[in-house]
Parts: sequence; structure tokens; C-alpha cells
Amino acid sequence: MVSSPLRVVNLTKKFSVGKWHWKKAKREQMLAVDHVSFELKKGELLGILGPNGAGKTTTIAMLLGTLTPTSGSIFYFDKDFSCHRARLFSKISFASGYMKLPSRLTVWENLDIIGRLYGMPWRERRKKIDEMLDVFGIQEIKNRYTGPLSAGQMARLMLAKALLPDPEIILLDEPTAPLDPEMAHDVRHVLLQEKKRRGVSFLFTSHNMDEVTYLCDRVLVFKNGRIVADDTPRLLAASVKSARLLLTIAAGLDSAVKYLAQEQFSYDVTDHKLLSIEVDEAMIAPLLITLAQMQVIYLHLQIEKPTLQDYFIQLAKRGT
Amino acid sequence: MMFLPALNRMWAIALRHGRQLYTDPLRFLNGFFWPLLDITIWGFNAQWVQQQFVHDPRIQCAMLAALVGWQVARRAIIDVSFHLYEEMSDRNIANMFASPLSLVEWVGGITILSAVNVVATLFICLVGIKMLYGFNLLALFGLSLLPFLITLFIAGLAFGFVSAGPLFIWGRRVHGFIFVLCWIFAPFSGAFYPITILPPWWQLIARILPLSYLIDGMRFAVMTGIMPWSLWSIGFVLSLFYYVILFAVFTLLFMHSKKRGLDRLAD
Repeated sequence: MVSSPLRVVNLTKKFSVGKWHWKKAKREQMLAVDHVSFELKKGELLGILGPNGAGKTTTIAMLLGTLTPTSGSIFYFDKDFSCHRARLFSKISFASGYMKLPSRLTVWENLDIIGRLYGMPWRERRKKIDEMLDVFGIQEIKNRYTGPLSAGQMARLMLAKALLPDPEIILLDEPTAPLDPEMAHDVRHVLLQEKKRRGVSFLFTSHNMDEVTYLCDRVLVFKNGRIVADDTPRLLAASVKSARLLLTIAAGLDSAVKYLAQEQFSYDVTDHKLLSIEVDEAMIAPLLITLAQMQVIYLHLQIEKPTLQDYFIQLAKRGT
Repeated sequence: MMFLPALNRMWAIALRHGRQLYTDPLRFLNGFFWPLLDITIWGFNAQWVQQQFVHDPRIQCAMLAALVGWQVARRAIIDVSFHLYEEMSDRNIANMFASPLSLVEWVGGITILSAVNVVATLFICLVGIKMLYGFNLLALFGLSLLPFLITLFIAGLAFGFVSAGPLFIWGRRVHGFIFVLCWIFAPFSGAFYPITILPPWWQLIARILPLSYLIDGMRFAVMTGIMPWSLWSIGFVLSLFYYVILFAVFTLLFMHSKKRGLDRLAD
């Protein structure tokens, strides 16, 4: 049986919040992660999505060992993380778009320290640092202190740090958030290359839905500390039944709007002629026929299929 | 060979902080300013007392030896707490502990760096004493002081865990308090006066700390030329005892901190 790179069983985290009380039981508790279980397969790029406060970062922190779970277990390569931390960490690394590295060390020195922590021999370390500096386009700033680096340069350095020790699992917390679109595109390409070339498994959080759709094989959707969906990005998007119908109206806008309001459609009019209607895919044809019967004339028609973003918005709107 | 990778990681931590310390002229000088200031103020003070009241040339020597001993302990105390604070202010603590590095190895790395810092501090102190007062403390009493200095280094690391511990609970917002804690042992160390002049209950506190025995021992060695092994032994045993106990507490605080998350410590 092939061992799973990461298996999470019933992971739970409760925090004491609010005013301190000497009796622990009297302190207000918040359930940040609620009995979460999932598995990351070898060579898989698994996305974690969810609104702010859904429990994504808390889960990542527990997977990195910087936060102790209240209950539940984490297994890397079928070994209990709480018992084999040091040995397992030689195969795991992480990067976050919001973290920093020591400001009074240069880019090169920071990578050197990370290489040493992962036990990379001197020759290999120098070679790999050089490679990473090239891959992430930070070769020319290798002798600069990291303190004054821009957010984008720091994000690239963090990614170089994550890939430096050739890990088998990489945890990425919004790694491309501070990057410009071109650099973010290059980074996505590098991640896919690593996945293809070495079979690296990724756990990836992002608020960029297009990026998640492009990169991830599977997505876990978190809400209120629980996993509420586990599917491919395309199937999640397809679960949203309503599409967006865009019409450029030449005549009959008033009667169209009156009809849509009467039938309680969700719609929007811009520039006095662009009509955008949220409608179930199955209802598009009957709606167009009705509008034609009402003498509504349109010059241009466009149907926007639901995306992961639509799924996300729908999820956020839904109550607990 | 599990020891070699651990040693490499300790060396990485020593390098990480050492590079930062020794390439920043302000911080580098700051580390040596206070020992030199102590040597200057208290050295001349002792010289004045010696000339006006006591007329014993050993008084100034004993005072300076005790001061050098305190500088060793103080440097070790500050190194543990300052470098932990530095991990937090650099927002690097999660980077460090989300790697194969363990807390024991981090402490090992800081111990290596602190040993280098202590040797540098000793060098500066001895050069300062030679330049200001014209005698070489190391040449006169070197071998007899060495066991005391090494033990004071161990004791300093142990009390460094006390001053660094609150950082694991409250994070870097308590850094002002941390640097006060570094000095809290000074009145009980016997570095600036023999502890016998303290009020009885202050003496009681001083007597349960290894610093008083070790610094008293250094003073005794300088005054009499005899190595006070009994004082050193008590100081050594107490230092080891405190090191083990306080490191265990430090580890527990670290574990406790992980229950609330290491990320929050940088805020």
C-alpha cells in the first residue's frame, strides 16, 4: 500500500477568547477548526478555500506544528507528526505570502540558514540556492538585506525558501498574494513543474479563484471551521446552477426590466442598455423566448458559465 | 549519527544570530559598551576606596574580578532572551520552528553564539582593565578564575531562561520587562559588593543563587591566592540544578505557547 503524504483525522482546535478568567471553564471558547479530516495524495495539489475566519490558516499552523491541536491526529507518510516531528520535517516545507525572514540578513544568507537547518551539504546547498535565485528572479538582489525588500520580492524569497530543500510536501499559505500578475503566473508554472518533475504534494490556500481553478486538482472548502465541500474546482463551479446572461438591449428594456422584477429574477442594468441576469442554466432558453415574445430586441448575447468565484460567493452568502 | 544533523542546525542558529550581531556596528558596540562602563565606574570607585580608606592593593583586583564574573553571567542571560526576542521581532519564529529545528537545538545554537560573545566580552574587559589600571587579570589569576567563569556562563544561560520565558507567554510586547528581568539577579550576585552587607532576607535569596557563591569565590581567589573549591562546588551544583529546572520550565512555556500558536508572539 502506498503511504499517503498527509492524512488528517478529526483535527480540532478550540481557543479561549474574550476576558480572562482564572477558571478555564468560564472562559469563552471559540471552535476554530471542527473535526476536520482529509488526505493529501502523492503529487496532488490540494487547495483550501474559505472565507476569512473559516479555519484555513489555523489548520495550516497545526500542520506545521506551530499550533498544538486540541484533539485529532496528523500523519505524514503514515507517521504520527506529534511523535516524529524532526524526522518528518526534513520532507516538509512551507511558505506564506505574509511571513518575513530576518531583516538584517541578506537574501543569500537567509537561504543559506534554511539550507543548513534542513541539513543540506555545502556544495548542494550553494548549487540549489543559486538555482532558486534564478528560478524566482531574485539573483540580482541576493546580497541585499531582506528588510527593505518589496512585498513581491519577499514573497518570491519565501517560495525559494520553501522549494530549497527539495521537500516532498509543501504547504503554501496565499503564496502569490503580494505578486504582480506576471510573476504570479511564473510562480504557478514553477509549482506545476515541481509537481510534475518530482511528484511534490502541495497544500495551497488562496483567495484567487482563477489561480485555484488553474492549479488545484482538488479543493477543500472550509466554512466555520468545517469542511463543507471536497471536490475538483470544475465540479464545485458546476454545482452553481445559475449562469449569468448578458444582453445588449436595442429596444424594449423597460418591459424586460418590468418582467424580470415581476418574476423576481436577480438582474442589473448598466449604461442604459446592458442587462445582466442571474438565471438557472435550464431557464435560459425559455427566458429568451419570453423576452422575444415581449418584443425585446437585443444586439448581443453572452452567457457566462458559473465559476469557482460564483461558488465561493454563493457559499459566503449562505448562512451557517 | 543523529547528533551531526542536530549540530548542523545548532550551528545554523549561531550563524543566523551571529551574522546579524557582528555585521551591525551599533549592536556590536552596544554589547561591549556596558561591560566597559562597569569596569570604568566600579574600577575607579574601588581605586578611590583603596587609596582613601583600605590601603590594600588587592581590593581593586577583587572588585574587578567580581565585575568580570558578572559580565559573563549577564552576557549569557541577555543572549538567551535577546535572541528569542529577535526571532519574534523578525517574525521568524514560525519559520524556525516549522523546520527540523527543535527547541533544544535552538538553545544549543544560542549557547554556541553566547560562548563566542562571552569570550569577546572577556577579551574587551581584560584589555580595558589593562589599559585603565595597568594589570593583567588573566595573567595574575587566569587558571584559578577559569572554572568560575565557565560555571557563571552555565548559570547565566539558566537565568536567561527566566528572563526569556515571559516572551513565550506574552510575546514581544513584554520586551521592556524582559530586559528588566535580565538585571534582577544583579543585586543578589555579589558582583558589586559582598553579599554579607545585604539585609538578612536578601542574603537568603542570594544564598540560593549560584551567582553569589561563584563571584564570592572569584573574590576569595584574588584576595587570598587560594582556590576556594568548596564555593565553586556549591556554585557548580546549583548552576546545574537551576539549568535543568529552568530549562524544563522554559520548554513547558514553549509547549504552552504552541497551544495558542507561535505566530501570535510576533504581534
